[in-house]
Amino acid sequence: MRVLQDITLALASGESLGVTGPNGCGKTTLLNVLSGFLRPDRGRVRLAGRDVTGWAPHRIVRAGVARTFQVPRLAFRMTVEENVRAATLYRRLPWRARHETVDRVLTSVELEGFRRSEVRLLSQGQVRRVELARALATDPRLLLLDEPFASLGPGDVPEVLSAVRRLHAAGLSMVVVAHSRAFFEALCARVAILQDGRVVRVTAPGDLPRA
Amino acid sequence: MTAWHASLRGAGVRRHQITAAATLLVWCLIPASLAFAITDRFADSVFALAAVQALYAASWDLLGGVSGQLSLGHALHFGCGAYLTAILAGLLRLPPVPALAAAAAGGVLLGALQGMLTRHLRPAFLAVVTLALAECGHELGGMLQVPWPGGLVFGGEGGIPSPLFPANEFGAARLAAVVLIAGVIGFVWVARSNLGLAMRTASADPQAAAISGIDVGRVRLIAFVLSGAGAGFAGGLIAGFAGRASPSMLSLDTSLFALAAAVLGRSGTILGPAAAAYILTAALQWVELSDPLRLTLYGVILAAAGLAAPERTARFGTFLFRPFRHAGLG
Repeated sequence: MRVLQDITLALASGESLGVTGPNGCGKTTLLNVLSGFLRPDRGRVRLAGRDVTGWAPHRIVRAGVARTFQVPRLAFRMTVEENVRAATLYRRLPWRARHETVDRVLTSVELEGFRRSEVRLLSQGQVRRVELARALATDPRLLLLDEPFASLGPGDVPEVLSAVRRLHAAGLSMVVVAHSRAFFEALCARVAILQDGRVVRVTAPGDLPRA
Repeated sequence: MTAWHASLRGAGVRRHQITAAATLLVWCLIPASLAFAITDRFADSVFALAAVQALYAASWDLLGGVSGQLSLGHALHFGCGAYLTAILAGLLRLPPVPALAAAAAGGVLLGALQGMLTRHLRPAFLAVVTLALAECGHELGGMLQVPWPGGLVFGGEGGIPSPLFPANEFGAARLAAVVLIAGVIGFVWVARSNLGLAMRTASADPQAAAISGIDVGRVRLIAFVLSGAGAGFAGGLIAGFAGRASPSMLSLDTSLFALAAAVLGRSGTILGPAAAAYILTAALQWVELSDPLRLTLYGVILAAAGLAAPERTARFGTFLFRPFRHAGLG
């Protein structure tokens, strides 16, 4: 069973690319390949000219790729600060620099007041922002967002969208998997439409059908 | 955030850390006080054994509690440490210190072996593999026959002899107390360190750890190595105190003891399982349960923990060791 086939996409530095398509078309699989959780049978994944195909996820993170998950993957019984601090460990920062990094990323997602809270006690929107903070703590060049607005209540969407827009404005390259034209219009210059594992079209967000 | 709010929160962080340090200090004073103040031979022999078992349980907790790798074969390191010490000190006449160092090194090598084999396994298969390896060690220990000077052969179920060290029970109790304190402080330090954070993150969610840039396999391997060193050293001490290394030190009984102590003392805190092991060992020495009854007791403890609400079982340990939880343990 081929989940993805003949996918060729390129992303310029600072660009945000949207990925959309019906359920089961391979969007998350694509992110899993890009982040090392799945190894492609054919083809290559290159980051800034370096072939990272088949690298273990932690190596790809260290090469500059961070991601969030459709269903958040966090250490839920650990605190917000611990989850974010864990993402700074591989960088071997001095204690003060690590502390400042944690402070900075928590401030960027407006969670500095929750640093000692266990993640399991937070709202869905806050959990999504913790994932964003963890991703930022790895100092990425490319951020992969897998349906960052899924399962969010109306009150949570603006918080997460605001945090993601700040990252976009700061020039971070992103691949955003989502379903909403409005999100793509706010975040992306191009959107790749997947169907049955193939890219059928790459278009501007304004050309997407209204949901 | 206002300045006073920031200073209050800072004070809160420091309060937890001070409480954690004070708890650790009090915890260390108890076995030291018992060992140095009491000079009754039987009591000192009990304290020596209890301290060694506490070190053994603490070593398991770094692996099973902090790192989340539920080994059912921790006796392998313990028993092999005992056999190495007995052979090196008894047969080859090495002094106790290098013999004990070799016991720890043996634990390191076995930990590396187990870690390499299991680091990418799911928890159930890790438990099975570690159990199987320990049982292999147990059976091999029972079959081992070591030629001794003078035409003697030692081994089998009787084990092999080891020189007694230190010379008496008082020395044994004090040595064991000092080693326990050093070992527990070391394990607590690891658990609280960046390495410990990586271990706990990998334990909570390996994918979350990987996406944080943590090499989960390497972290798990390190946990096995450090834990094996502690258990191997504890086994070496036991051989010196008991004057013998025997297959029972490699048995399932010994492996389950570590789990029972972790369950009673709240796994992941290091101090809790060590304290539970200390108390349980001392109590069993005075009660004098037979081997089958002891194994039954461990089974009952584990079954009760599994069947009862986990929060209830952990509550006692949680209350005692809450400062360590806030400091990043358990």
